[in-house]
Amino acid sequence: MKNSIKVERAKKDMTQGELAEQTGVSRQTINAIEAGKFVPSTLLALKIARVFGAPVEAIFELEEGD
Amino acid sequence: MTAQNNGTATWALVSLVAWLASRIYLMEFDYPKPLGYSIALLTLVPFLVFLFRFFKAVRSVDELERQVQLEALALAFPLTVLGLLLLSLLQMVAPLNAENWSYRHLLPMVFIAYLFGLMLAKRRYGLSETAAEND
Repeated sequence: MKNSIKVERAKKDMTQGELAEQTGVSRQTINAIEAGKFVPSTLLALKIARVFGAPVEAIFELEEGD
Repeated sequence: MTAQNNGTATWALVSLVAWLASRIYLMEFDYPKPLGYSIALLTLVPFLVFLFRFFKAVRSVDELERQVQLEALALAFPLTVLGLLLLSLLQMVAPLNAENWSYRHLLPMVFIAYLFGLMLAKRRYGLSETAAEND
């Protein structure tokens, strides 16, 4: 699964730490999600999408083979 | 696992000290058997507190850290079982010296397996002290 968290953060001039704080997780979790190393839970994905004011499908996208 | 870690680590240390103290006492002194059994059982108390705090700490961390702990334990358990199975077979081939292959020698196997699993899981998810912000 790929995501556009980094792009969305750049649009809002938001650091990983700030996003982590707003979603209630550690910065390392956000880092791991952005790097594609960790797939967030539905709850966390929805929280991230809410922070960016975008639908979750705009942030996270299934890849071939998922 | 931050604030919870302090309590968990403290109780891990208390458990270790209690175990060492009990072991020294049971080795070096004479005592009636009921007292020996009581000491052995009471030594478990701090370890039970540690277990309780450990599980509470794991439940309180975020989902990635929980996943790391889960994968570490998921590796540690079968690795330990594998080690014990191997030893049980080796014991049939050549009697293992009880001085070198008692339960207390096998105990580190559990912790080593857990630490190994923890290392692998942290590496898998890119968790490290030096992981820089990806900005």
